Amino acid sequence: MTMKKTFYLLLIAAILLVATESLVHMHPYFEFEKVTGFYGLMAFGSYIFGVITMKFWRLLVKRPADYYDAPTQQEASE
Amino acid sequence: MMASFLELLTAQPGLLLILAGIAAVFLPTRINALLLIIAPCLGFCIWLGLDNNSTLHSLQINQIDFVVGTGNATNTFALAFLLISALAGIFSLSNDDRLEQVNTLIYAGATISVLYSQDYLSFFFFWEITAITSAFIVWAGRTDSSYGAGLRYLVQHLFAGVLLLIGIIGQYQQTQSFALQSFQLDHWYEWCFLLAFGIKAAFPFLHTWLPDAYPRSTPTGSVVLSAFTTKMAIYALLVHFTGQKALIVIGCTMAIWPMLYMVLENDLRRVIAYALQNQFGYMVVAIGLGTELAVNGAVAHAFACTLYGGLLYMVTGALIKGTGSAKCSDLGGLAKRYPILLAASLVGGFTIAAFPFFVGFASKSLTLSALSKEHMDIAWLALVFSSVAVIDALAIKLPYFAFIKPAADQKTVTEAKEIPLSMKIAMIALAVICIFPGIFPHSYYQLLPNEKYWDYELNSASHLLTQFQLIVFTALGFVLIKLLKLYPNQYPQTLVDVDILFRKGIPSIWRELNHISSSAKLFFAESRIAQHYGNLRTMSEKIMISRLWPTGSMVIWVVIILVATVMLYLWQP
Repeated sequence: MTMKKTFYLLLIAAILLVATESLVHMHPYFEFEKVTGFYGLMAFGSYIFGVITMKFWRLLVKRPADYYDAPTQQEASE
Repeated sequence: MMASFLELLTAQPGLLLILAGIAAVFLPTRINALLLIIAPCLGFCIWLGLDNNSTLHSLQINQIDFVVGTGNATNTFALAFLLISALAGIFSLSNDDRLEQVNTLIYAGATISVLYSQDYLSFFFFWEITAITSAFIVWAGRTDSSYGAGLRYLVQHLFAGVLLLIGIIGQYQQTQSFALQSFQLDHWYEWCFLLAFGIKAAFPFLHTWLPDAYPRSTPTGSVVLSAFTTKMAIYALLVHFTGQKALIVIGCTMAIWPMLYMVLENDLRRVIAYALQNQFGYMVVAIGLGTELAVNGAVAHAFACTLYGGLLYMVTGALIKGTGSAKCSDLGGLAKRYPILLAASLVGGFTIAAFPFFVGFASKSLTLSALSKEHMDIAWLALVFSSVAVIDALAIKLPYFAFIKPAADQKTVTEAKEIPLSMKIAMIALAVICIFPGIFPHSYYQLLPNEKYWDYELNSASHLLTQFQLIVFTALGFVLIKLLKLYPNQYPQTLVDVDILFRKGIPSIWRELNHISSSAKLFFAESRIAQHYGNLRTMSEKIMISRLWPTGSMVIWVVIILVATVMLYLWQP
């Protein structure tokens, strides 16, 4: 199964899940939960936001694989 | 004598495991492998008999019953520990490392004994045993990196022990009692307790030992490590700090911080370690909230987390056993080779991602419901937000990179070794246990301390619908990001966490100080005083006694004098 097919399948499932909301009696506790498809939108938004944030975070924290094992330049020169 | 010994042994399940661990020092390793399964099973028999056991009395703290009865927190934690000990025993049946066997048994026994401790002296005693034995399990990895990680682990855990001891002393001075009690954070020593438990529960910025040590142990060792220490700390927090609102903030930070690493990490064992920290965040929030439903949520989640944490580490352990690596960049295309592993990883991933009809859903829902009931919208949003990363990292990334995506190197698939049958059996058993409470939540909820919520309605239509939305939209996001080729590539790398402060920062300060002190020494060496001092040294070296005085003999003398003093004190006329 290719990625594209999976994408369309999931898209159909996602739309169906949001559509089902009108058939089911919902129990929102918070105001924002009353928005149709809130959980789905929240997950999708968080995910896209998360991945982009992580790409930037990686720029900050990425080091070579042997970062902690290899001697630093100063140690090597001693 | 014999009768009282038996009474002590059956008072709680932990002591039997410790005894088995001591016996394992002398027995052949083949028998030890069986002992690792039999001892927890016998412990389970003791656990079953605990209800009618009159030697233990109940302890009421914050309306939660401790110690007696099957419907309480202590016994639920103990049950989780016994279950995972037995299954980890089956998983490591083919392992014949005596060091690991002995320490696993004592570690498990001591952790259970901490649960049943009713005074701070035994609490501290068993607490310290867990720190030392677990460090040996890290060292059982027997590589340079596991040696270093074990040392860092031990230093941090012994520091937690020292803080606990200071806390206990302060508490004793205040109350003249060693009995366990709950705290309101209005005395200084209570903060020592909080910090000590915080280090062990992987509070944010005190957590670096967790992703550092767990991935460096043996394939079987990380299963054992993931089960005990942190859950023991969660239990300690539950006993001492239920309802402390500060824990809600700490818990939310704990849930969100590891998100930054879960998706990026290449080493799957580190991915799981970060995901576990996120899960502890849920429990800490629940403890901080402290309502009856929230306490049920914390206990249920700790129970579930012990199981799926173990299952996920079993999958990565088996991958290491079979292919020699648990890194995304080395794996791939193993679905046909290891169908059982794929199934187990899916069950583990779905459970931690709170997929409906798995135990993770049954336990996380309690915490989230408790937050909604108290109208804690920010904490609720933070936890739901963080759950998206867990769905991605473990329900999607782990199975995808290890099994589904095309292999990076076809050799890993062709050269993959067969996995021992015992490992497969352990994983299948644990997977079944992960599903069972999700389908029959009401029998599962009877393990929880507050009876009022035993009939909590889990599988309502709206609840299932919202949870499926969460999962399907996350999967949709993953596929979209993958199609757009934006997903972070997985390759060997080091992602520095706050541990860079003490692994690079302190050594560099130390080097600077050394640099200063060596130039000072140089200055000193050229002065006249130094020449005099040098003469004195050579003179003293000529005298026999100072030359033959190794430090070792001094230690022996100190020990002899100490023993003599104790003897004299005990047997004084």
